[in-house]
Amino acid sequence: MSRIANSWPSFLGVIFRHVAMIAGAILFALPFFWMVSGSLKTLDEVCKYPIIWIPAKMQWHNYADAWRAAPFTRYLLNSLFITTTIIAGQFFTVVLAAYAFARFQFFGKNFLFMSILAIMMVSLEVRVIPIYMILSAFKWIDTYYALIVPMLTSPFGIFLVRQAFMKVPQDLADAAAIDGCNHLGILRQVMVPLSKPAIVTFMVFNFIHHYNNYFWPLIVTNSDQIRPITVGLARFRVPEDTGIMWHYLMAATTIALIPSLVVFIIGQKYFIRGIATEGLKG
Amino acid sequence: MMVLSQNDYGKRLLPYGMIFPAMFFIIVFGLIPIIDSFATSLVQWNFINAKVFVGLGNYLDLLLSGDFLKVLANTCYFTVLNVPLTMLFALALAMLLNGPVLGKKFFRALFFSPWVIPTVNVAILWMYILEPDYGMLNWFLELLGLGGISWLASTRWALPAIVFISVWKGAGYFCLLYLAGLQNIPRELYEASAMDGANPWRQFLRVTLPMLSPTTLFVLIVSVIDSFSQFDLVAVMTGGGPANRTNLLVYYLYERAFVAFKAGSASAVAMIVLGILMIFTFAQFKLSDKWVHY
Repeated sequence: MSRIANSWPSFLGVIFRHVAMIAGAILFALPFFWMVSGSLKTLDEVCKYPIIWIPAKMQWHNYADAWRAAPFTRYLLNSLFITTTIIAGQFFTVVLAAYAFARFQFFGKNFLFMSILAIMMVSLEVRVIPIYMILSAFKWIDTYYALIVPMLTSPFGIFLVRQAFMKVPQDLADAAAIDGCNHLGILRQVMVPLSKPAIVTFMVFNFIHHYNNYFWPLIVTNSDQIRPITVGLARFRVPEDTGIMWHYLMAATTIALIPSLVVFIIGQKYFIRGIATEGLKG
Repeated sequence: MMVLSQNDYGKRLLPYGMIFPAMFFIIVFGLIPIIDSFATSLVQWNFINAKVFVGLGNYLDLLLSGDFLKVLANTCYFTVLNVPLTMLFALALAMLLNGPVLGKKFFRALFFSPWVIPTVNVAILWMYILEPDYGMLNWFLELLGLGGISWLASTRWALPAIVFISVWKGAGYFCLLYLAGLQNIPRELYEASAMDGANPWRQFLRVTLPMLSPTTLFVLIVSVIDSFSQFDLVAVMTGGGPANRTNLLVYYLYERAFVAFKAGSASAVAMIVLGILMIFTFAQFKLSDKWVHY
């Protein structure tokens, strides 16, 4: 036993590692395969037993049919609009606050910083009823405001970006100041470009979070004009008149997960580095 | 040096101006709602009529109602299964990815993908897999000579099924955190322990696990908070059924507030969730001296 073990990674070890890895990969890939396969079947095939792995004829038109069966274009545009607006808004509030916390000494700084972290650690579920009441007082329920405004800052982002700003050497900021930059100039031309990994990580993270969100839009939307795709998709699940149309549902599900996946793939390089270094502590 | 040479007054106000936009949203949508949630938990209110003060009445009603206790028990059951399984699974995947394997980047992206996509999509996909009459899972079970199960309609299997899906969805994220932790362990520690004759299993127990303990503390706290916030899977897949068996605290809160319109009672549920998580997090930080090595 100990001979083999001591020569780790031994031949057996390498084999074991790869077998375990492939088992893991099957567990993760098979559901996705089943989803795409389902999206290309006929209604008959999708309910066949024993199951059919690959449809006899690929029903590519399922995608177009499913897309037309509900206002999915509208849902998707809503999702993208809401998410990008939130990200843009957060960028400003987060970068400004992070700069102040990283580079200034001011009265109450530590207290305010700790309060921000503590308050927002309290999850949205706990705060949902009062926020709902605030929004309805403004007559904002079932408008984009309800989906966007409560999300316009991010303590996690302030924490993450502040960490990155603190690592930028003071000399660089001083040099920019001597060249005539004011604080906003230093922020824009020195701090933000040098903190790109942290900022991109935070934005990718938040895009995924807000695009994927279901709880909040479910509560504050009532109409298809405003609904994001997560809520639209969940409603599409059970049509009133027919049974569950799994082939359409799988097609719509496949399309709806593409934006998150694309943003993740684009931001992956930064994202993984960002989580590995800073995210761990947040 | 423009700003730096401005008058003192403006200079002192600048940082406050910079944090103002963030503070505004944090106060309006963070601080005030937390205080208001507590206040609302002490009244009876249907969102429209006047609030009636009932003191701790909402809390008493909840604690005396079988439904709430069942939901609390479900949530504890979910957490007790979900947290260790997610951690074990994530650590195992991270150990694999940290070793010499082919196609590492591909596997990493694959394990990570369920966490990236919306939970609603995951829920719908798994409903199709768990479909009792023609689903993929029952087909496999029959292949192994086991009978099919009506997963989501079964009081026995619905919650374990949801736990499994939650583990499947969440493991990739924690795997990444563990991977980062593993890569921060100095190689010399393994070399030194190998010289002392430690086998891989001992190395894992004596080097890897202690060195990963800060990651484990973080993962533990985050995954407990996540478990107590679980909503999407239940809302899409079962609506809390069958017979309330998959009803979890946040879904129960949602039903109280936005289906039954009992704002006071729902706020009391929110406060109980907050209390449980605060006690848990505080206890972990206190206990962490005993098992976390920095």
